Amino acid sequence: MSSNVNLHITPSNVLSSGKISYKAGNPVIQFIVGEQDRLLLGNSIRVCGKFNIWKNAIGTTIPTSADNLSMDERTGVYATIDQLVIKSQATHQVIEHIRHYNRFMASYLPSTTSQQDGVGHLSETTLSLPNYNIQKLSVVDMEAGHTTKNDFCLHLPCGLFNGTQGIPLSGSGGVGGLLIELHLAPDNNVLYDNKATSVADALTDSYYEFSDVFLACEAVEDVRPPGQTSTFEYNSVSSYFASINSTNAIINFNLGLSRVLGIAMNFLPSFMINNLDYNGMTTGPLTNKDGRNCNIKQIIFTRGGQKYPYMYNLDLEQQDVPTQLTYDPVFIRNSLDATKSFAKTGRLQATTRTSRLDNPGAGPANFPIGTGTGQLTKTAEGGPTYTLGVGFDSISNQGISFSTESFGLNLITELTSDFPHACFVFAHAKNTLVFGPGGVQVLN
Amino acid sequence: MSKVQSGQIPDLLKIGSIPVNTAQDVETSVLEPVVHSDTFCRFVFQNKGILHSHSKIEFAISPPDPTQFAHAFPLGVGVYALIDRVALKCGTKTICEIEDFANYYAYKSMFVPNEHNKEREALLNGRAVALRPAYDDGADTAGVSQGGGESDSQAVGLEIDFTNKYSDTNEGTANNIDVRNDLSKDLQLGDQHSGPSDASGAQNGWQVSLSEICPFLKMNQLPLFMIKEQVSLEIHFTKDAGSAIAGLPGGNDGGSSSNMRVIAKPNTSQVGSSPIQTARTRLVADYIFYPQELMEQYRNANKNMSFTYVDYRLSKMSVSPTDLQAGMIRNLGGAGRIVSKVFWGLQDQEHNGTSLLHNYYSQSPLRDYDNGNASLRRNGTATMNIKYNDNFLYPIDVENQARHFHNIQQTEGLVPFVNRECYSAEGRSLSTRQVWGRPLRSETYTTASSRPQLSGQFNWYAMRLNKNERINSRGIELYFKYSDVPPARKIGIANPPTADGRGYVQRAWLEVIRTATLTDGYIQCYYA
Repeated sequence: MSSNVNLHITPSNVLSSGKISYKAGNPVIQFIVGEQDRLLLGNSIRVCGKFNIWKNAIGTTIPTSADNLSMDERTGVYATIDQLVIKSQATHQVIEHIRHYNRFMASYLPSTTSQQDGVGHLSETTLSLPNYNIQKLSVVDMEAGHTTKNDFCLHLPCGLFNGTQGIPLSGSGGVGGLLIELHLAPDNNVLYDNKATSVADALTDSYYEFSDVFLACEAVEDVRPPGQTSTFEYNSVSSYFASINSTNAIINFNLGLSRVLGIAMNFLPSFMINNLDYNGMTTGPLTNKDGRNCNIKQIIFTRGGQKYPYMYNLDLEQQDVPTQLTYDPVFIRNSLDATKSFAKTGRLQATTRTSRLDNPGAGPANFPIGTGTGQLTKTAEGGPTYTLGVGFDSISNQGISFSTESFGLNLITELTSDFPHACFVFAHAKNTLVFGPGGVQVLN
Repeated sequence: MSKVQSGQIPDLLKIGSIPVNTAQDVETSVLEPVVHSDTFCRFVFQNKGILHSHSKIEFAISPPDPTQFAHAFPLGVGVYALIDRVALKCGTKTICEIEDFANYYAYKSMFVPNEHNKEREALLNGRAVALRPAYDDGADTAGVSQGGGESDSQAVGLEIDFTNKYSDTNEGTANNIDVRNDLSKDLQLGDQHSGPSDASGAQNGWQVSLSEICPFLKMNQLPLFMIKEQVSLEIHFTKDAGSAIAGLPGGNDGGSSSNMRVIAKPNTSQVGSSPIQTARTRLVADYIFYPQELMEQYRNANKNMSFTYVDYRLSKMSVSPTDLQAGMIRNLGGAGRIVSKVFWGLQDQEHNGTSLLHNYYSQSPLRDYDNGNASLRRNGTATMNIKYNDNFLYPIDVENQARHFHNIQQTEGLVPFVNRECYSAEGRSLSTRQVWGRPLRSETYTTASSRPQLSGQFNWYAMRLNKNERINSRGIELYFKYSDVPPARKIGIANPPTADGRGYVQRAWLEVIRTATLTDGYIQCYYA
């Protein structure tokens, strides 16, 4: 007989109103999964609640289709989570910490789900839909926003919760309970004016709000003898940030990870971060200040100063044919390899319309930005899926060590205007969690 | 010949466990039913080889009016709408049996990915609820209300992704510039879907899979060569129209004599029954054979076999909207059984062939987005929990619709491929485009044709009983409460109808664990 139990955990830091918003000064939602002799089933963890968007500061007006207020259609509620932190409740030791979690999801979702997932189950659970206008009509302009609001029920993809092993919550021979923190993103990085005229449209006070938030999960009885030291292996995601503004963009990090499976990164013009006129979650290609294409012509990955895993330069199609407007297939394949082995990829959102370096729907210019006439977001099928990545080990699945050697990336681009781009880097690595009577230790 | 050890004999019934060098032969037999009427048919299998679980049964019907493209199978379940009850029998013993099969299959059909619905199911069995963004992809510069607003990136909502045969209701009018963009464009189902006779006089044929209608066969293959009794499959068909126009539209807003097999285009002038073409019903049975020596060894090594499988027990109850709002506790049964999951839905008894899904749907709580006071617009709520063995399954009753949706996923281990508005009627993600003049979404419940056809029509609930315990003598109790439900549909041909409807039916299925033993060629079945 198994003895599974369903747990219902409310946030430990919720206000008496039950409402949580970044604007009102509650940027962190914290859940405590208490110490108990059970194994927490990571894949059953869901953050549930109600989500609503208000147009005015006092929270009395719901946006309408006449307003230009939108949010990223692909990431949905994930756009609101800036950081995910998982700690041991007993020792407060950090087990996993993903910064720029929303940006990570912006690349993770198109690599693991399809457009039909977006039309279907993701629309119910994460409030994402594969078109910016449908998502706006359905979620942002929620007719029942004053009363019943948008229900959501969110899985938190991360190394610890994606694992198949139960997480021991016991204090002796386990993690001693878990502390799960969601750091919310600023309103102006979640919401945006789709005409880039937020001041004129009187949207500067708009904000998002959560209510009735709780964490639902399932746990099973831990039948292991107490007091034993045991290990738990999981895949983690570590995040890094850099910026590039050159035709020869160089990124170099000491990852400090010993079993790296892959590295993925996405880009965003820096001025679009926390800018209510622009979608801070979009994963478009590099662009020049005047909206001209900014092709990546060559990619070189290095490890400890040597080319790795490819012993050669990756010359993309745009090197020889700058007018080629679809992503190079090698570019797409490598980005998928970073998350999941390309050969095992079943569902993805990379299509001929989301893998373009231009945006036919936005008019004659390619991704015009800064002028307010078009946006990276007004694209079909959920928008661009421009993720640069590389997989290091899709055979043994044990990863490559970057503990003593640095990871490097050298890009030859056409970024000729002074237009800095933020570069969000995510390293997918294997970790080992050791726990026992002496406490918890994370081995990277 | 050297003696074969028992460990060397492969498990022939388990797909994937056969060594690759084992010769396998598949023989296909086309079986005619031994009994066939418009309400019932029975197939008897030949006791040879191993029955392949993906053997198929073919059906065809005669549309009520073969001169028109005016009838189709319900979009959610397709040809499975023909099946009311199905039983797999061995001798006089019933191995598995499902009642109200078409309703049961409306739930199961949610787990078919949209792309499969579009590319495979629509052709094999007529299921066609795949959605796609409806882009403003016209070429004119008129306003969106006239179908203009050129954009190949902006979508106005989701539409059914089945065929491009959309007609334009504004065609020929002064304002109509572009057919493709018209928000009122109207999907025409008939010719692709159930169609009239072609030049040879034949209607489309459809097929269902054995493993789909008999869950026993999803997990096991029947070793017919080891069974000494007659193995038969009995299918009871859903009700055909009782008379020339009973139940089908054309001004008729339904009633208890509805045709439960097809849906019809509104205002179809001549409607009637849709009988099954008995001459075209057949079972294409695949029998798997291995070398005789191997099969004999297998028979000798497995004189006593047991199969563990799941069977579904239906519990249904009429319930009025008033009772739903007051909240109820309902005993679903299951006492003394091991029940692994429960799923249930709510159907208006008068929901019939005037709707795209027919009666094979589940109604969500009422939503009111047309309230003149914007601050009172709302989605109704449904609060559920299950109590068994003196404990509630969830510590706090579940009300969040997304959590309900997640519970289905946890129950089945599969995600339902259902859009949010289709499931819980939350938000406006469906477009205003229509199918046969019927709106995909609507706030109006006064007439059959104005009711929402997809919005809030997939609102099934499921819960997994995760303790693997035997249910005690008190059985399983379902606690449920709806804040609002749409008014029950009314009987009569007046528009709007005047007589009161019969209210709602709540259908719940219990997945119970059963065991079958095969001893010396005879099968015995019992509850685990």
